[in-house]
Amino acid sequence: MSTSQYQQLWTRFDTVGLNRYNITTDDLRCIERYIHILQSGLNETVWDEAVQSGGPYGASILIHEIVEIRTLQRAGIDPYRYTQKELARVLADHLSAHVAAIYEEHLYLQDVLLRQYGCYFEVATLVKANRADDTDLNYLLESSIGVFLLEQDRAEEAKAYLEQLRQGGV
Amino acid sequence: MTRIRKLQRRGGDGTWHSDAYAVETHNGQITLRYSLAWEYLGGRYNQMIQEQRLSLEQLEQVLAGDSLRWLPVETLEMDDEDAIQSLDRECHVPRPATVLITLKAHIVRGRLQLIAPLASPIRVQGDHIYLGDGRQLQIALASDPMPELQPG
Repeated sequence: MSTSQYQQLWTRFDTVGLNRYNITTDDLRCIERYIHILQSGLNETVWDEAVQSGGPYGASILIHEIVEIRTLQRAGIDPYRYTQKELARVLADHLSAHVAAIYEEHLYLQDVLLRQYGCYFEVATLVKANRADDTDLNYLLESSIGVFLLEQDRAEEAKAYLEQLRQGGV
Repeated sequence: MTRIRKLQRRGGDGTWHSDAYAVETHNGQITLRYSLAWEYLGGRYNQMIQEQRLSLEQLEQVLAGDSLRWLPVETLEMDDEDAIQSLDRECHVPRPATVLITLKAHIVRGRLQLIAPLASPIRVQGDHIYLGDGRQLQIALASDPMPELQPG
């Protein structure tokens, strides 16, 4: 993809979110490369979903990836020099990078839902609603990032709002 | 004994490796466990497997492709937990260290006071609770309804 195509792509996401996390067109290129290492061989990738969704939901996926990449880089790791297998091991050894990414992704979604629909959900509730299983929720709840409240009885409501956001994306 | 089935992916360098596997636990449920390389897509496949009640032998129905291959079902001579622990290590599935922070709660003159241990990542200051990086925490308290007292 050329620089101008990345620039065009950049405008399809929620620019408030991208600016808040200083995500540039160069970062888009880095995220695509990172996902390509991690998920080549799969029939679908989170990069494809981010691009298809666009808007705030697509931005939330990009925020997850850039936070993960930057956290690894701050730990002295260059994620682009690894093979898929090696990167899976590196990520397992640096779970905090993934947890930080989950947290920031859903902190951003929390803000978007509040701005767009006037609805406030706890971060853990949004993780529960936004994932098909509880793997990421457990990583978050068991992390040392903080103490999280899970509104179990509001997860379905949050899921409906997130779906609306995903559909209405661009 | 635990039945499992490893999933292999062909990386960009052309080599095959396992970074996910399905395990049949003692209650008969199939669970896909996956490395962080799968991101949230792993959870989606896990949900499909469970919703469609697929057996280990039927997993190609939800996950197949030129760069994916399921190895034959294996029966391991170990219980679920030991098998999961061993395969998690092999497939780079992280196992988070549980962080448990116990707060002491007191009611003093009608006010709830929470006290965090000094080594914890949270700080209590006056009526406010903070994380080590300065973010403020909001804590909601919930309790089960009081059981009804039996007469007599």
